[in-house]
Amino acid sequence: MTRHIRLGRWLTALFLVVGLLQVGGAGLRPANAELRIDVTQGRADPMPIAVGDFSASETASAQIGRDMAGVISANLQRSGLFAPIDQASFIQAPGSLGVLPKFADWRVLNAQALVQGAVTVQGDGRLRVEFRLWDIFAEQQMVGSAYFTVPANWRRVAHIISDVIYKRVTGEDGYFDTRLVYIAESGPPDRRVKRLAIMDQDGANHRFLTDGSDLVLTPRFSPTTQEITYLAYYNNKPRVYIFNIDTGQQEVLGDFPGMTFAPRFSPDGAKVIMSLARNGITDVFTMDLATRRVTRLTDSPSIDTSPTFSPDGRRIVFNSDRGGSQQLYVMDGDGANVKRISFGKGRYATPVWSPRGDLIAFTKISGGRFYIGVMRPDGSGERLLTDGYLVEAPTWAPNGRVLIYFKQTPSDKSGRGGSVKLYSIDLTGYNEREVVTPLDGSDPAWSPLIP
Amino acid sequence: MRLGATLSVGLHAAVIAFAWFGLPHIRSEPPELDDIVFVKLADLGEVTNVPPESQKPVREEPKPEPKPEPPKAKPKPKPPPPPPQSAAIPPPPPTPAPVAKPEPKPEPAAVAVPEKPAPKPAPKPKPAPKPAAVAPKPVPRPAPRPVAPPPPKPVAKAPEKPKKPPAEKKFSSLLKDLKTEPPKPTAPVEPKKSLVERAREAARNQSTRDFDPDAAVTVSEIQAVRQQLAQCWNVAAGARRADALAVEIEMVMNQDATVRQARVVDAARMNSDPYYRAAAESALRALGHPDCIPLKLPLDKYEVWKNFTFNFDPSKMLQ
Repeated sequence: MTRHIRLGRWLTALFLVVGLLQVGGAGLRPANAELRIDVTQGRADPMPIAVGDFSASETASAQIGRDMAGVISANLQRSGLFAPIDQASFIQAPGSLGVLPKFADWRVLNAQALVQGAVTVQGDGRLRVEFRLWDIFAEQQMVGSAYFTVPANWRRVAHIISDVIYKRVTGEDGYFDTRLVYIAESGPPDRRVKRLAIMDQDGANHRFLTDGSDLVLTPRFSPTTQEITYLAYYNNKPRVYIFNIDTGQQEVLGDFPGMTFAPRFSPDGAKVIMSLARNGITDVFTMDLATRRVTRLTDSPSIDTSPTFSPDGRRIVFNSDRGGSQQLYVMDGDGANVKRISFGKGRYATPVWSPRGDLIAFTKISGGRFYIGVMRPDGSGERLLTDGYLVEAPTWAPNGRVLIYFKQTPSDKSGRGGSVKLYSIDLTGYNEREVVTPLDGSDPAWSPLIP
Repeated sequence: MRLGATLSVGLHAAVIAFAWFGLPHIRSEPPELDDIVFVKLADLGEVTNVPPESQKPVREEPKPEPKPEPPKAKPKPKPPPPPPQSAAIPPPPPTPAPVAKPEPKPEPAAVAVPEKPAPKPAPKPKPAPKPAAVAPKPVPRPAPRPVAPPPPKPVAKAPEKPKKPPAEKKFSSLLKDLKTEPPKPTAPVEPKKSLVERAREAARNQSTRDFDPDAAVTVSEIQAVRQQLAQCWNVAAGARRADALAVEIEMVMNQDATVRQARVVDAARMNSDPYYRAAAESALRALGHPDCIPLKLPLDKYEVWKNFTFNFDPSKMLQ
């Protein structure tokens, strides 16, 4: 009995399928088919966004409200994805948070989004900051939140709000609540003073970490952001050091019979991977920070250097001249399965794996020019984003969408006129801008998002 | 016997000669025709559809009525006064949701850390009432929509050529490559465009109410809409997995080619995937852009585009 019922169901299903097929066939007649339009072209213009001053009830916080709007606006603009609208053209003040914005007034300005905010000082002296992001066309709130903090911390809250806006609109994590370390350079070329310096991603809160008496190079952030690893010539001996930003403490990382350089943290922060040069041979090693155990990963009579872990820690990219010229190679985390991935004309150096894992950035030297480029981890899809007399040392924003590198311009014969500056460029290659530093800057390293 | 052999040889020779001279001739023609006809066919199709109507010079012309709609931007009938997201807006402060306090935390600031300005603020972003920024959020859906969209499909192919120049630079690809950068050709698309323009004009001027169910929207008419939206749609360049971010939107249209309702088909993914949500919202914003209201659809073919599907696919721009 049940069997019959089941059979009946199957038959019904079969008839349905056949029926559907027939309907589908009939659909070939244009009149019955639903129209479908593929839109495959669009623009890449920055999104017009109106950022109003955050309102404040007290005069003390009014300045903070204005400054926060300024910081947020500058952050969004720098990303190249937003075009903040001049406040002078606002038809209505962004108004208080409790009232629905007059969307028509913002539409006239071609704004597609509106940021409103308010700052109030609490009874306990803390600051309460709240904001809302509005979609002008849809007339809906996209996101809104409130934060409590000490007044001195308003700038950081502005960065966090910028990240929230960025993430809500692009779907991608932001990178505004981050810091940069770099090498601040000053003095004539023959007596260059190089100091380790740190600043917020937007250039604020700049300070020097070392006094410049020793040469420092290649700083790299730990994933925990509390520590930096770098190369320093202390008493003319090049060694890899670890520097604790909070305590100012420095520590040499192992004492090897040769020269150690090109250090970088592993994604979990537990290991440092670096190069060790001895007798003209350079190989890649890792050191476990807890046990100080050293593991050798490459063993070739060539120069293997600039190692970087992939974000999952399972693979490593480095450059080597084992094939004759300097090229990029990928291997497993334990040194097995070495595979060359760069095959273009010229030399490749300083590979860096994107934090989102999909790309590797590198420096390329070809035809007497330097390029910053990206390729996929299998070596395909190579794209050169920018070039110059000397551009080098790309470092990724934590969301894997922006690179910072340094660009040197040539100096004249007497050694004047040349400068070294930091620049940022996004993955499209179209949004390139200078990262302003008080002195010349090189060897930038981008921190992860501050926890 | 000999005659038979001669005949046979002669006929065979004739057949071979036919094959030899005749076939190449036949074979060589179609391709040529194909090339030329393919482009024109679309436009001609539109034009030839019109004449029969023009035969009746006197029409009641109910058309002008809906026409003057362009000025107003408001796409949705949504009554403005009642705020859309009642949850989030009303006077009661937006996100009162008190947040995790970043306790002042004494912090041995003495450790000579001038920079670290904050005593570990950890403000902890507070996702507000969760406005769930889905689009108009439709109700049931009365519109019966057959699933099969085959015929108009050719569009996907045709327009791959140079695009309209307005934003000269970033059209073919949003990603720069120094190596392959050279010529962003601003090819002579003009003639085609004007043709499209003309076809549309014709359609507009001669539109009548009597509906021809067989009059599909032509390739050029679809192309006009695509070009219009290319000006309104802002693609987030450099997004991750851009190849998997095509967004389908079901449209319910008004007769004046304004949007009555636009619904993202994959609403579930919109709530779970922030990249997809960003892509979907960029598509919805394009439909809300003043330059894309109303859509440049042939008003006399309302029955055809009353319900249709948009597919916003950024993958071709981001390779």
